[in-house]
Amino acid sequence: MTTVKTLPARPSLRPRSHSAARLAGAAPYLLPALLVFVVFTYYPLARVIYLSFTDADMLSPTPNWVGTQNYRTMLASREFWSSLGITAVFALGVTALEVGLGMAPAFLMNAKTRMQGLLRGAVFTPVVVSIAATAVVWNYLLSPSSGPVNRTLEAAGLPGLGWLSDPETALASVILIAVWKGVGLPAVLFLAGLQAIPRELEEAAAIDGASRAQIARRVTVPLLGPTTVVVFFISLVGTFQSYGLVLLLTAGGPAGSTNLLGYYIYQNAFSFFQMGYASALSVALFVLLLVLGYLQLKVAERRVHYQ
Amino acid sequence: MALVFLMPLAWMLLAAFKGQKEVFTGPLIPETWVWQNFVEAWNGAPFGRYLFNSVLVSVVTTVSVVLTSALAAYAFARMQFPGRQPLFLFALGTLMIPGDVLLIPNFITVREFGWVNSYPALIVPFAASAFGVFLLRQAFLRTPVELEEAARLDGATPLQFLFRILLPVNAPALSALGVLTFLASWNALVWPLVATSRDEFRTVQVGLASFSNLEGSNLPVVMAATVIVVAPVLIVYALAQKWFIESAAATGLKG
Repeated sequence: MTTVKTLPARPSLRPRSHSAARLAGAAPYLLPALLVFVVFTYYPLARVIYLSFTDADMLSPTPNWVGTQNYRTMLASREFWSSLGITAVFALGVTALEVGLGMAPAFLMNAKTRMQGLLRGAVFTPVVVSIAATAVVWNYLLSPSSGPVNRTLEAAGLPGLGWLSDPETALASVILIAVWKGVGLPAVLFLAGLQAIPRELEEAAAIDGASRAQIARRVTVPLLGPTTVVVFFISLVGTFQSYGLVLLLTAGGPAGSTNLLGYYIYQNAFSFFQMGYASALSVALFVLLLVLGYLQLKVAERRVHYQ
Repeated sequence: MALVFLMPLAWMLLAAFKGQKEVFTGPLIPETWVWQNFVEAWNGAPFGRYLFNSVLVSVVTTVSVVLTSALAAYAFARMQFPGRQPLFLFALGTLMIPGDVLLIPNFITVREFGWVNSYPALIVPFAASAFGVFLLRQAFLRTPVELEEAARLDGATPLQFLFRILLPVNAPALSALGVLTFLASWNALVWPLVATSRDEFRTVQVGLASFSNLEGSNLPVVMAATVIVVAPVLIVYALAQKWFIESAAATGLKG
């Protein structure tokens, strides 16, 4: 509460021009990044929503407003619902396997053995190999007629499978390839989680006479809970967006059995040039991911409250 | 367990040295090593050009991301200005919007700019990263303010301080961002596939995808091409494994 007897000549202008000057000072630092975000993230988000209410194709210069037509087409389309189902199976399958299988190598990588370095390097190697190369290699390995995998199976007296060319097994094959390529990241995240667990807790349990298996089950795995939640959602959100493999391995086939939502969007936009309809599908994917993001936030909050 | 992950790649490498018959029926290790496959792969498509494009696009993208992130992070970490908090949330908000949702509108934008089949189409949309801004801001916030005060006293401008002191001091965060950006850019598939159709601007990934369709019948040559595309990353990975894994752990936990 200071007395304001000696006010400056234009009191209201001073702080304003001062803060305007500060904003002008920061602007050159902020503009490059913010400009990219506006032009290539926020503007396209608004635009894809607008396009979803139009009949945009690649040919006519100005799309016509068609209201909710695209959304009604989408909801009535069997292909859409089947691709949504396939996406759910793919996402949950890959995520479950990545969370489950990612934890095992993390324990091995954390143990001080001679193979530790090799294992760490090996598990993460497919992560740095591109999707294009992964697709080429697995197409060869899983080739039904004479691919190495089937030849190995036959040498062991087992029947070979159709893998990617059989509608019964194609989705499972793509899931396994995606897990091979992706499980290195969850493994590394679990490893980071393991290393963050204070040694004393496990040592205290050991002094109290707990066996190694008991320590792992009662102490270590529960303490990995928060990491597991993070890994689960990172995997889940990632798989909803990964259709590059499908694009190159199966092109959604055979018989639409691997038609992931992402690929369905790609196909409608760039093969059928139905930009309006594909935009409505994109908005649906966005809403789906927003819901997942919201759930993740809720779960993370609960975790924090319990601790 | 390590074998499960490495075996498919070993198979690829060995197949690249086999003859066309041997690749399906022969033993795992080639009986005669066919180096000619690599020559045929190299000559079968402009892989030199693809590699040049990939190196150019990945390097420029990485440098851009590090630069734009460092500048924005510096402002957010060290400057007082109105709207700082909302603008930071505005930047972070882009993390909520998945790239695949933006594929169609961005393609249309890039086409309107006349950028289809050009380097800007491959670089500019990825020239800034909200994750990068966040990662570097965290690093800058942890850097002692005294450093900046000392630099100011020595007459350094903010930009000089940023580039000569703040960035070198935070080399680990900078390298993590660099490694991940480079890898993502090098391995990108869908966007380069959509944004380019001419060989002059294709990256190795798009080149490989179309080459394997084209040459599908000659598997050893396709495998040789795949080795050519994968080798640069694998060699760098073998040399700097620790960096890759650590930076991935850093992103995963914070992104």
